[in-house]
Amino acid sequence: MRSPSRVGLVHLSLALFAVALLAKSASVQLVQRSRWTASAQRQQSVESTIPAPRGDILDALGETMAQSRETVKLEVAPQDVRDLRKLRNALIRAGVPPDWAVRATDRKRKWVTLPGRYVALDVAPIIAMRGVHSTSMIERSYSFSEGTRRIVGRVDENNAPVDGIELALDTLLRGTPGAVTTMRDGHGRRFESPQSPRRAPVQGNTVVLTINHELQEIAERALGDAVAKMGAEGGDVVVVDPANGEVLAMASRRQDPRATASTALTEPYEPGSTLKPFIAATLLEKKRARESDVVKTFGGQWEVNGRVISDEHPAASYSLADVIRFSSNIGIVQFATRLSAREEYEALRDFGFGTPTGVPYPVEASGTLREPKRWSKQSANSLAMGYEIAVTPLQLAAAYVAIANGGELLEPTLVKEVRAPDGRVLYQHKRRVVRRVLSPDVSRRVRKMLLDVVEEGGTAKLADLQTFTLAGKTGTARRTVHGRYAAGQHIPTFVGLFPAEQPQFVILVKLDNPRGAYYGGLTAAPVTKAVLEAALASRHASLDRGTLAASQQKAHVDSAQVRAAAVAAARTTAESLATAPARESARALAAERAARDTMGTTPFVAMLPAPRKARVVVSSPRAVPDVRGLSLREAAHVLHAAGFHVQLDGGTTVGTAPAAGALVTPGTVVHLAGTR
Amino acid sequence: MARKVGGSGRLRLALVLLGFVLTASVVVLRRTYGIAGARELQAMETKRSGLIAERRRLESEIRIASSRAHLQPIAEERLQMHVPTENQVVYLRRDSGAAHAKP
Repeated sequence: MRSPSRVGLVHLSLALFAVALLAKSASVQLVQRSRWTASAQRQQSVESTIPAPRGDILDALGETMAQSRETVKLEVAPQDVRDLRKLRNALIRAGVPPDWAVRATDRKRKWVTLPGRYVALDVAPIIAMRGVHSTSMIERSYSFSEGTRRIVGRVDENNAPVDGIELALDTLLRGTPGAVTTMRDGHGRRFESPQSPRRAPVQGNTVVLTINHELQEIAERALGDAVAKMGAEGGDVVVVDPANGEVLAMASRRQDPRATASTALTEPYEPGSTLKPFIAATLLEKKRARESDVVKTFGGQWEVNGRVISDEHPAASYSLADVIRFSSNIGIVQFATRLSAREEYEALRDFGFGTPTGVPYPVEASGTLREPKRWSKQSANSLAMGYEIAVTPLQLAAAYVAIANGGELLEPTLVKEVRAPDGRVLYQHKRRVVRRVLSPDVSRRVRKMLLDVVEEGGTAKLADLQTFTLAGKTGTARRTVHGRYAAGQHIPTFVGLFPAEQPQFVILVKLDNPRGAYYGGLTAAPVTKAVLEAALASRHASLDRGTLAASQQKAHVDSAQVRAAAVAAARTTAESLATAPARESARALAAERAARDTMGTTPFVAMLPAPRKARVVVSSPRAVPDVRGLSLREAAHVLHAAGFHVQLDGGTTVGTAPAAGALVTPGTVVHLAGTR
Repeated sequence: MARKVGGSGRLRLALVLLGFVLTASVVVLRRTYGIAGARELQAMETKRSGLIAERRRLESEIRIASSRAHLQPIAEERLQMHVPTENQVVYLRRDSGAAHAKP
């Protein structure tokens, strides 16, 4: 037998190798196909989550108070950077702190994560550099004042709500995250393939608050000025619309920077004499007293159950109306004896004291109102004077709303509307009556008594307006610190109903421990007046000017005095504007002449411009066009022309979501499915 | 005869190889263009998001700059303006119902 040649052996080896190769190929392609396909998928594509932006928070005028925007986080691998100096300079120009810019360009470091978030456009040249890596993040930005933040709340760096409306309405505000499959190229760079399935993130719902940012800023300014001027430790201002219970402004201020919550909702206090009108109203409602009924007040000092009660305005006797007007402690205690303990407790409970108002806020306090079985001998008297009870400023304002609107206790609200991203209204606040606590006649009579408080001789003369009527009640309570009354510390309060005849505002001002004068009539009442004056001069302060114009009284102005003030003001203005002496004198004369000419018999007539129409929060929805039968390009063009943003979603069937014909707000993202 | 068959076979083989190379080139080209297009699309999408973020930041800055809290101190300090007292404001009634609308 002939032995195989070397060439034959080589051929045989090659043939065996070819067979082995084919066998392996067959094994990979046929037997292990799924395993290798999955492995390739893992290497070439990555499934990632697209964070959903939280919904916007708007104020009652449609101004944005909080919104989400896309930013980037920057990370640097210094060892991969080609031109370190160029990167360092670019980072500093983009606003990165210099020490961090140095750190990010230190070759000894492997990886540096820069602090802060940046708008992608601002750092686009940096992102394009080798060794710089960017990650898309959603950032929450807030407009307006720090005071507004107490209501709106905030989110942490992971977009998780921390407090305020952000926390209370988190389920409505947070959106639905999307998902996308990104491909990797040979260099490991990621890109989104149009063929890959994509689930777009859905933005959270838009929440429209009842807060009017203009009024809120007025309240914050007035409160800030008062706290600074009086050396108070803080204070709260609450403005509520008595017609529907909407909270229009809620300003809070505290010395302690850790107090970031809206203390008008979270910190109950003893309201003092501001509680007296509820006792008086209950007496009138139960026909146990009339305004003209008189009780003895013993010259301002009276001992009852071993406790001496005193009045600031001593008198031998007071009628019920005068008890409210002069805030007589002895008088209200005398009148309160006409109510049983149970009746007094139930009356205060019916006005909403001792229970949370129900506004959507994470930590609203319920206050304290003890049941009669837990009362001491002094409790009935103390309650009549506003002690042994703790209320939040909002609870107190909500109770006064009942006096202002004819006797209905309304549920106060902070949320006016909730809208889906496509503009659909999911929730709209409707006036909700908790219960009727007074008859319309009694509430009118109580308002009359409160009107006297602000007029000549009353305790709140400093809140009096010359051309409008204001009703209200002062209160000055001793302040408790760690459960005990602190010597020389007080909490003055004033609650006003403006205007007195048909109140449009219930406004509560409370100050914490002001230095010097501490009576509510001397401290909180002037703040109320400052808020009202600024609101009256504002075009967007939620006031019905038509009704106000009808009720405006003629001002009792000393024209000579006003004219002199105007001329002096004109001179001052001219002096501040002019530079050269000649120009100064010419301008001063011109200003003086103008001031004299402008003033006729009625000085300072301020012609207000035409009222701006209410801002349209939602633009009128329009129908999504029918794009069936069109190519993807044509469909996208048609949808763009109709005012919608288009998001391509892939898929096999051409169609839109929302479907053709659905009414959607312009600017909404319409998802377009299809492959061609 | 055998030479003719051999020549025809090589031609066929060459054509098959050419076809394979052309097909492979088309596939590679299409994929290259596809990837470039996808990358460009992503860059534009990123730019759009950036522009939206920039617009929102500018709107926010405008809101803060035009807010009462920002303007009032400036008007008071630089222009000696002041908030009018209530008796300095006179509401003039209008015939149209618009004046009755709450802002």
